[in-house]
Amino acid sequence: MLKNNFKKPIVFLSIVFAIFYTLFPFIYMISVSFKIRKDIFAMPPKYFNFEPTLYNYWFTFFDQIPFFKFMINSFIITSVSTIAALILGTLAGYSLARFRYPGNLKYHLSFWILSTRMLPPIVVVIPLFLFFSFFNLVNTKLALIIAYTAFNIPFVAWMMRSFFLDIPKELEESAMVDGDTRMGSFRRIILPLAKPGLAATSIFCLILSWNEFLFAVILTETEISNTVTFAIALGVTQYQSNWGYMAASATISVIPIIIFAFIVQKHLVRGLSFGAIKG
Amino acid sequence: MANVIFENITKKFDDVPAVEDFSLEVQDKEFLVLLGPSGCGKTTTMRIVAGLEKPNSGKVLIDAKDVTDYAPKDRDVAMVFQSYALYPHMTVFQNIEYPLKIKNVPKEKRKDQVLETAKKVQLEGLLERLPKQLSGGQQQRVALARVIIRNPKVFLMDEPLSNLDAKLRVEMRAKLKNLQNELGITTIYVTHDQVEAMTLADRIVVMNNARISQVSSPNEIYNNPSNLFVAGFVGSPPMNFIHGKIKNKNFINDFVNESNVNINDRNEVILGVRPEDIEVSHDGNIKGEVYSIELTGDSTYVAIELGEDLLIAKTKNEYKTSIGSPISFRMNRNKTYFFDSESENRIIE
Amino acid sequence: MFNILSTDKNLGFFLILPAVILLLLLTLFPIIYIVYFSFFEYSSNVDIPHQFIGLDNFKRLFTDDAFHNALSNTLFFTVVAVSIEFTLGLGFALLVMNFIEKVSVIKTILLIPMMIAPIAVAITWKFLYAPFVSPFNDLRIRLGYQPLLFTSDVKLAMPSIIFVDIWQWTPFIFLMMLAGLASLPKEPYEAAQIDGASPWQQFRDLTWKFLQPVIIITLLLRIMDAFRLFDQVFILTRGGPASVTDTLSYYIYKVAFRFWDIGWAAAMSLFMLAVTLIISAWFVGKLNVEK
Repeated sequence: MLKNNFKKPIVFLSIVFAIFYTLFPFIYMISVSFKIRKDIFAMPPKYFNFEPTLYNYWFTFFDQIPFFKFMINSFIITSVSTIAALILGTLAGYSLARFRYPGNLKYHLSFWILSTRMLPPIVVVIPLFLFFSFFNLVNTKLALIIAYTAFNIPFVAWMMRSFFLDIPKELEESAMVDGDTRMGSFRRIILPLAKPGLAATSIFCLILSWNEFLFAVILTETEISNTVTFAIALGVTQYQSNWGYMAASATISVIPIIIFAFIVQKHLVRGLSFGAIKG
Repeated sequence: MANVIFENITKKFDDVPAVEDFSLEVQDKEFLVLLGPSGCGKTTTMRIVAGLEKPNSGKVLIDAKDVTDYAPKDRDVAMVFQSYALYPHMTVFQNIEYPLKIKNVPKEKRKDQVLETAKKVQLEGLLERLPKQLSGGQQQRVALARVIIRNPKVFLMDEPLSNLDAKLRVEMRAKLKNLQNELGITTIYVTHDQVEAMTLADRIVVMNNARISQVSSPNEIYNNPSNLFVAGFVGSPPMNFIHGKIKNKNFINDFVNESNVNINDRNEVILGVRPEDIEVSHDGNIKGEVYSIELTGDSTYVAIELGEDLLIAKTKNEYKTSIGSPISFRMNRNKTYFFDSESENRIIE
Repeated sequence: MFNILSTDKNLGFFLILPAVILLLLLTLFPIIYIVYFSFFEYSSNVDIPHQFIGLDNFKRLFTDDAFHNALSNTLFFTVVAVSIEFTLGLGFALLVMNFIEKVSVIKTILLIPMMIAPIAVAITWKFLYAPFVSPFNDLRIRLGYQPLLFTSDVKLAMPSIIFVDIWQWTPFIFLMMLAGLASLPKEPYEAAQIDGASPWQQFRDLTWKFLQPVIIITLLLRIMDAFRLFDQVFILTRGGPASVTDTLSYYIYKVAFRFWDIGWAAAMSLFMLAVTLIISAWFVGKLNVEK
């Protein structure tokens, strides 16, 4: 009994502390994005007593770089690669969940697909750069779309496989005995039931593609294909001391993600563990 | 003529035989039950008829057509799964309608047929519900409606009553038998419950270890078992078995001596007799002490120990005794069965 | 009339084929390229063609000090960061186990660090680590201390990077462990309590054993990610000061894109790849045994 009484306030306090510790860096960064340069470097730092300004955001969007274009590029690349990954990955996941493979093939295939996620991006960046330049695809949105699709497929395949395994195979069997084909039952019975899985998976793909940095930096050169992450990196490479810009661009990049995170709440664990844990 | 013929069907899963050399003819309109313990191969056999499993060798013929290589959808069979396999995202109406929908039956006709079928299983008021809003019994009736509306050549049922509570199970048993009789559709039914098998079947196929143990009418299975397994599997409480030998037309072991056994001398023999064929009698030739007493309401089962065997007799409720009291039994010699210890086959006198 | 199972078998194959082809294209071919590169020496001078040097790049793996530095930095980072994250994550999960289930909003908030772009995280911490602008240093100054040069002090740079990683990823471990703890069966604990087991014994003999699969997956994902750390180093320290935060990924990046020694970068990449595969194979092996 004493232990319980003791425990509750400790737990409460530690949760509060954890939330503060998590959010403080953001709040600070967001506040920087609203400060004028003078206030950013003010000593001692002005926490609350500054006049907020939208200058940094204006700068981000309308000065120097076509940030809007970058955002549109990000949107296009992210959505197309997500859709492509969803299609290819879902079919792959279904194949892994329902079909028999000869011998040990399934185990090896699954491991290989999983290992592509483990690949350090730096390892493939150089050859991919050469590969894409051979086809004149450097600095195109298509290059990033192809790359992101490939990187998202393993994730989609594992996630959807996990969701498909949750659906009893009797449902397809029943449909097939009643006269449907395998793919017919997939379309009419399985897919509708897997909708929540598809939704959660797609959001994770969106997040992954939106956040990706290395490829965006190396495979793109100009505003034709530059993405938001590239823009943020400019803050470090080109605009060395324009902290307002850095803060604003980072904030803009973060907002959609936070919204997405709240949408996927329920499936967070499954998504993060690659479909291995149901949560 | 919707008969089903199995010709030497064999199915292995990774070198483990699930069904071995299964040959059988199911008559048109017959209610055939595949009975056996878990893992005996009964469900696999049925799934082979459905086309959900492909046999390693052998043929399946439905209505004289070789369907061994056909997809499930081309066989004109309908199946009730143990879990019912209702589509969770569709209403009862849509679930029942599904088979017609994929055959592109026009909407009005579909509606009429669904309503008609729903009436047959008393589901009229529930058509707009989702499966999760139904009770177990109601779900089961939806599964039934789905196969009835198909009007197939063969009904396949995989332990459809096992998820129901005892009372409902008895009710549905009667309804099922009635329904099948009325519709006249050949039915293959899988169960591990021997009471179900006995009450529903025209013929029972008892399976054990991937093979057929015996195929006969319920009466024959019960009163004329052809081997030890069938004898011990059917009947509750199960048949008593006593080990002994036969010498000079007598069955002898340390506790029992039965005369007039018309079998040649053998060293290892098993005598089988059902509890209801043993009576308690003061001049019985089997003597011992009461080991246990069980009251079931309409009868009492008394057991005595005979070395390593336990002999259970069924008596009327009025008979009172206590553990440890001396007691003697007498067997009905018309209902004793003898089995060879090694082959487990029945020895006919 | 179809032969159902041969159609089915073929169908399974065709369903997964497009995905496999795309993956092959973007993983196998790059790797073949890299193997090819690793046998040559490239230089930043465009006029000098690349020379075949056989296994020299691989021999260099044993002799190059900068590489060893990057490797040890990476190992140090991985071991320290993941251990701390794991302990904190598991500990916090055990603490709030029964209180936090219902409030998924809290969980989501706690997860924000790991869901946003790593480079956005890096930018965030760039501010917090800044010599004078940082609130931490502000506090120090008010208390009369000198500001800490988090990212330019040789002794502080790596801990600073580790701290950012902890901030970003502890919630991940926390969430995984929480999910694992939520699925624990009740009966064994009741039996253990009746038998007189202490909370520590219950943890050691029951909880720890039950959590094995979750722990393995979580550790695998975390270790793999830590091993390839790049974004934070790029933004916060650029591998410095004095190469103390030079991680493998960052060093390879420098070698390839600043020094243009692609052959050497390729050899190191292969090394990284081999380590990655071995570690994953080991983990996956443990997982399958569990199943």
